[in-house]
Amino acid sequence: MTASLDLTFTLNGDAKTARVAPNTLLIDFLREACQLRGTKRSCDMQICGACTVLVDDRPVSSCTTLAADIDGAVVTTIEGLGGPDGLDPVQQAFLDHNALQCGFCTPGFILSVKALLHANPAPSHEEIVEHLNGNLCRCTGYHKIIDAVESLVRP
Amino acid sequence: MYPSPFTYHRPASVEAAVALLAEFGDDAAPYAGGTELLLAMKMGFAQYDHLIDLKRLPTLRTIANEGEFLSIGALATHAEIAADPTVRDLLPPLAALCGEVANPRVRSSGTIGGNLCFAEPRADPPALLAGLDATLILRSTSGERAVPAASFITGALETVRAADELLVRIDILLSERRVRYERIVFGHRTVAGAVAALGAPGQPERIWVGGVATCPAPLPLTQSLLDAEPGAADARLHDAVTQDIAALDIADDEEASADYRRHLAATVALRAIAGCREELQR
Ligand SMILES: Cc1cc2nc3c(=O)[nH]c(=O)nc-3n(C[C@H](O)[C@H](O)[C@H](O)COP(=O)(O)OP(=O)(O)OC[C@H]3O[C@@H](n4cnc5c(N)ncnc54)[C@H](O)[C@@H]3O)c2cc1C
Repeated sequence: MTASLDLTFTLNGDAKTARVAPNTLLIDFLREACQLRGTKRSCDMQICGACTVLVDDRPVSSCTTLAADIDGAVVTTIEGLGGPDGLDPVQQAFLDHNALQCGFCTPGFILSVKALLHANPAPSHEEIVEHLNGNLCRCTGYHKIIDAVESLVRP
Repeated sequence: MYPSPFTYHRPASVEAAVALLAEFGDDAAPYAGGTELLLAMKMGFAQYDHLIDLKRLPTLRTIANEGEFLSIGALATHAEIAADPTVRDLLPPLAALCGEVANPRVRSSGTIGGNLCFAEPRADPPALLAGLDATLILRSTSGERAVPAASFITGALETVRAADELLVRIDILLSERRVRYERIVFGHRTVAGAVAALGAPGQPERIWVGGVATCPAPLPLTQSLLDAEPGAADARLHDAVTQDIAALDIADDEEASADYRRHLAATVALRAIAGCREELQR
């Protein structure tokens, strides 16, 4: 039984420890305690996908997950992928296909695509569309995002 | 939005989890995927002083072929069920449904047990499992009891589960029946779902609808018609389904009028029956 909770986890490749109140949500822990602001809060109900992060390579809505859940886990946020001097292939594909405009939804989309390709390295077109159904973008109309993913699967 | 503060418990065994439920009763909630629970707590619809984390109890997620039935641990996630070779082999419609509900994030955290215990009227698995004659195994400090899926949910967000009981697994009778689940989705949630489980000699025919009334419901006239005349003509089936659905208590809501939802329920029920019959003819 705990009023505060000690966590040990790996965040974007680095071993970490932290102490949190049990009702801390993963999104707040990442954005506030860890100051990683690439994870976006939007709908707050697991529909939009903007807060998607990877926990042990599984996609989760960090808005509706307890920070407690990452104890012992490996967490990847958008900051854990490539930076300006070396983009992750998924980031590069988004760039090459103009798959973003305002960029708000992009971290969530990119992590969602990472999760898809991790579980299924060769998804069909239908599987890509179905998977991305769980992320909302209000700029691109989705085609460019789907093209970006297609370019990784069927270059 | 934050969930209100609570004390967090991480029991090391199912016995310890059940003991915590016995100690705290109504003040405690099991925490499975949290996809409904945390949402309800964030929105202030639910408040608990104690959360009992089930996520680290691997014995609750086992999926096994027990010969007479397929046994699925309450903590198995939608994604795990969808990908499980045993489920895909023995009950493809359940694997297919679990692979398409919600979105990849909800499927990777949300559990079958959480879906059943939350008893959201728009949920899909409750009707499917009722139509499959599944049995839910509930455990408390005084032992286990078995509740048919057909009588587990009693209303919107209401079940027969007592506050000190944990749903530990779901046993699904394996039979020669052909099984079809059909649903229509608006936005993110089902507006009508139906299962048909038909065509095993000596076993009653099952047709259930879900997502339309406050809890899943069987279609008794349709079931009797098919029991008596497996090849009943489409027009008679249509009449029986329409009469059964007219008898259900269905309300207007923001998604659909009651009449429209009745129409959708009849449509999915007839599709499920037609799908089973097609398979039986093959
Ligand atoms: C965007 C979205 C779309 C969705 N679409 C669909 C859909 O198309 N079809 C569908 O069927 N569902 C849908 N759902 C619902 C989803 O299936 C459920 O949210 C999920 O399965 C709940 O499981 P959980 O493990 O997260 O439960 P939790 O949120 O952890 O728990 C739910 C409730 O059950 C209790 N509980 C959990 N496990 C147990 C147990 N083993 N014993 C006793 N009590 C327990 C908890 O205390 C809580 O009260 C959707 C949900 C979302 C957010």
